[in-house]
Amino acid sequence: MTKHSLDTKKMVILSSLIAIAMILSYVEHLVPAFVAVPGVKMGLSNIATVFALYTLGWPFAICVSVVRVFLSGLLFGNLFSLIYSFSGAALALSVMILLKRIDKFSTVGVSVAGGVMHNVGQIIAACIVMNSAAISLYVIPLIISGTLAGIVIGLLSGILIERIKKYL
Amino acid sequence: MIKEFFGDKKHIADVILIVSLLVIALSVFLLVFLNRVEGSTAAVYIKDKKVAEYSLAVDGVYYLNDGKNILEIEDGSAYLSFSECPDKTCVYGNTVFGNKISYVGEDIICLPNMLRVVIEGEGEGIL
Repeated sequence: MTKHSLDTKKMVILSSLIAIAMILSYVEHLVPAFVAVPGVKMGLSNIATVFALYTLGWPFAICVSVVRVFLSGLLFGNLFSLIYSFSGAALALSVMILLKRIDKFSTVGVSVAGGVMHNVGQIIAACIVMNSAAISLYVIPLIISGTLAGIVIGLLSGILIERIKKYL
Repeated sequence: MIKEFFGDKKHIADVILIVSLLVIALSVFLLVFLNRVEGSTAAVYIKDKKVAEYSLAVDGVYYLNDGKNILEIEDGSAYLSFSECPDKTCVYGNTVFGNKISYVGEDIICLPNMLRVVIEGEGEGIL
């Protein structure tokens, strides 16, 4: 797809996906954390990102993710959570785009890698912000939670992509 | 249904990825768990500056950061019993190791107040 062929249909889908991602972010903020490890969450809004990655292509996935991170960071978070989500999202997106390109994994593998890398990115940011390597210990619970959340998100996005793709 | 699931080669790759991630998490956990060393003091850092140091051998209650955080030492381990921040992550601790720290390198962090309590002592802790 070239720069000039950004048609209205894709733009509408993109906007809807960003709106959906925002709603999912908001819903996630309403659900109390069920584990007392900061950073453990479902990553529901990743459904929109994975969906964009598979149906519209990677530039749109980047768009959905970046806009979502900034808007929800401004609305529900603070500067710290914005820095953390942004570094997490950047790392997760790069890995997901790469894995999608390699074409060896289904949406489950892609979103598991995304979930784990999102957490790893956040930990790296936290280590830099706090200037402490000890925080890296959080990788243990966060790899596990990222994997589990990634499986659920991957299965959901897989089903959604399969059912909706033919109407796009 | 399971046969159908694994009939897709991509799903086998997915499972390999998931299992290897869990193995990595488990091995990091074992590495940390088997190498920890009991500490002797709890050092308090505010914005990366060491402001106080308390012995773990003496039980006590200490007001830090103008009372924004309260550190308690009890039976050789340290924990924050109070924080004025809204999320109180530092008070609750985490599900893996709880909210009390006693091994070298273990720490409690209160990000809103830029406070960090670290256990220090003899030997190199991997934590």
